[in-house]
Amino acid sequence: MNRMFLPSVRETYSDHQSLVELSESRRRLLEEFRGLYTAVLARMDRDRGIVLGVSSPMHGEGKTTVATNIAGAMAADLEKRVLLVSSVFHPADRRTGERPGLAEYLADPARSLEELLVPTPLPNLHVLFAGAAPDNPSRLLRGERMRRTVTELRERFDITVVDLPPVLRASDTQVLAGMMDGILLVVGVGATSIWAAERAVKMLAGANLVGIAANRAQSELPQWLARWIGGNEWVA
Amino acid sequence: MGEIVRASRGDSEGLPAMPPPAAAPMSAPAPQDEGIDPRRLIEALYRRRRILIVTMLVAALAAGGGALTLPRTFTARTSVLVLPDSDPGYLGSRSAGSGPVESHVDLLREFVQSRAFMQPTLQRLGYLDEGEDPDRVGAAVRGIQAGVRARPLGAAAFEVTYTGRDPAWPLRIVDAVVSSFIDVSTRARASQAEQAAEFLENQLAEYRKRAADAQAAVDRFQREHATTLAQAPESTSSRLARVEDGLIEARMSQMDAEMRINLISRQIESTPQTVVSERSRVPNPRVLAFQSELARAEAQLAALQARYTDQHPEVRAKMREVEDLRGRYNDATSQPTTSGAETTRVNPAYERLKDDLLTAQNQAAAARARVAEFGGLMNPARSAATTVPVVRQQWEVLQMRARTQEGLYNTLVERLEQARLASEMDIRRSRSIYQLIDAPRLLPSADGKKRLGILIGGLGAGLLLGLTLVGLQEMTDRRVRSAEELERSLGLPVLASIPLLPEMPYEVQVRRSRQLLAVKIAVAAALVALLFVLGARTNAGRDFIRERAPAPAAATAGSAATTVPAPAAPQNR
Repeated sequence: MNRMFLPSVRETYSDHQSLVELSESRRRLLEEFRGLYTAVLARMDRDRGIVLGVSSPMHGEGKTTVATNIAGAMAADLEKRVLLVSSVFHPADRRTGERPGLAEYLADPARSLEELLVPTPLPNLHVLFAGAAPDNPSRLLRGERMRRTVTELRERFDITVVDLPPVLRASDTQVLAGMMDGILLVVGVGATSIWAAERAVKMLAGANLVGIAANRAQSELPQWLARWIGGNEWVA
Repeated sequence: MGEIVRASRGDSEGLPAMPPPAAAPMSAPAPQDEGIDPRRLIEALYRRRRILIVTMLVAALAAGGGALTLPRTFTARTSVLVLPDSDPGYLGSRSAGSGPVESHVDLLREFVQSRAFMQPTLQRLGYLDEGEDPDRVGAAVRGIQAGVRARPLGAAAFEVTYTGRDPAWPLRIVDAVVSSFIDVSTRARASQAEQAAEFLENQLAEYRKRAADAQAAVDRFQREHATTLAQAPESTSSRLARVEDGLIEARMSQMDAEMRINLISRQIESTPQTVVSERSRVPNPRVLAFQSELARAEAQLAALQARYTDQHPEVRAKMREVEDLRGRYNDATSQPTTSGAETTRVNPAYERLKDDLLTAQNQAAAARARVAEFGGLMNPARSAATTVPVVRQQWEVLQMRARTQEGLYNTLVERLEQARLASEMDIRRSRSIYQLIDAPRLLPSADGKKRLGILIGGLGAGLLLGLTLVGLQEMTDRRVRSAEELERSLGLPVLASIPLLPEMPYEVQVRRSRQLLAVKIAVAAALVALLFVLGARTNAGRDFIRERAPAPAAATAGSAATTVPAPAAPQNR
């Protein structure tokens, strides 16, 4: 997890920088994530035991950043137990696995979830890493054990944020999305084609797609020009 | 991004009790935007700014290179004052009437393009000397026609310029063109006036001949029809009437005599030539008298009946007289006659009837002679009555024609006098229509402006090309550009628009921004220097001072370096 640019999380992790000291842009960035999780939770049919999946059409659209930030913001702002299931592995991603996590739990029924949860400086926020990618991750992710794990997470945590693989890169995402209570689709503005976004939405037709988070959506214009034209809240 | 769902933000403490989000965006996509959004347009231009800059730079470099290869040119100019109300239309300018000065300018342009005008110009320039190469003369003509420009200066003057590469020629060419133009136009006006007078004189001779011919025709006609013209139309018609009356009367007399002849012939046939009696019977003298009277009355009645109807009063009176005589004759014959010796002797009634017959035949012969006489007079009288009016009418037409020709001739004589006066005035006036305001002189070089114009044109072309490329790229680029586009395309609500996180510290951004500003200033300075180099020329400052300083100061500044005195330039033509 890159926590360098997570104002709410960093603010809570260490008290070196208070909210007042944040720059204007970062303060507004934090407000953006607060608005995002507020809108997402408002679209859920319950306020506890929520499992929210975060995905994107392609790689590199900011899905992990968004998932990490809304999990940290919710843990900091709300009195709820929050779990971040980070970067669920998929066949093309072999980088995960530095620490044991979901893969080990799914592969070994004898292992306890408690020993895999990683605590954070926020007492109500835990992280479950993806773990070492197996040879056939689809077998694990589509199995009954995965379904029971989701049920268990729903019972143990008020809110679980699952960082899913990209929809167009891993077919497992469609299966996992069906197990979630809601799916937030992150689309990188200026990088993703309309065609890819439309195809991702069609592939998630069986899931509860609650909405879209437009990432990197600020104007490309310089501040002076955007301020002169008007209509850009990020330069106001 | 301002329309992103923001109402869903709530209190950070716990889940907010907010109403469920509107389902509209989930069900149907928002309607497509119509027209061009200026903000999106500016964003697209900014996004593709590198293409714009590169195309403009390339085009500007190409234009700058082309501008630097332009040869240096020299321009000479002179100004000509035009007399007001001097219309050059009759000299053949096609645009006469567009404006007083414009017409003169157009006339000069037409003159420059005509071979006839180039003759005196080339002569002034020394191109028509013997042994001159025709190709060189042709090249000179083309060069003059391509380099000479004329344009109006206000409402009463125009200027003539010539631009060429050889500094020795512009002054001479401008002077030669303007001088030739003034000479040719003055000559053309004089020639025009002379031609008008000559035309009128030719017309005058023609009309004089026509008038003489018309008068000769009148005289000839009068000689040919002297007798006819001497007769009055009224006398011929009355004579014809008299001849007709005489002819009718003669015919009536002839008919009367012939009828009497017939009647007497019948009476002679019924009357015995001799009378036979045993006793001499003496005829009753009353019977004989009645018989004679009755025969005469019957002859008169027959003559009247030939002329009139039975209802005519004379005929009816004569008929009553005949009836009365016949009754008295019958009464007389019923009385006894005187007895005598029966003898045979000539019937006296028969003799008397023979005498009457002879008399009637004489009368008939006389009447026939008169009919023949009047018949002979009839045709000449009738011919005279029809010929005389026609001849008189022809004579009057000829006289009228002669008078008309004479009137035209007199009018033309008056016009000729007026035209001579007008042409003299026109020739005198045409000599002062054009006046040179200033002598031909060299202008400061405009090569810098031309090069700058080419450079600006190149930049414009590069901008157009860059805009075209940007448009093509934007049309083919299908990447998501905004949250609104996402909502429109997917029909799903965009819950947040997260900006790009800053990747570098603020100090680094400030340092980079300053470096970029320095680079921009350097580029601008280089551009200004380039423009200065392109627009620079020798003696620019001196020309600037000389043009704006008063005359004495210009004289001390040595303005003779560029102002060449006019070589015998016509000042007042």
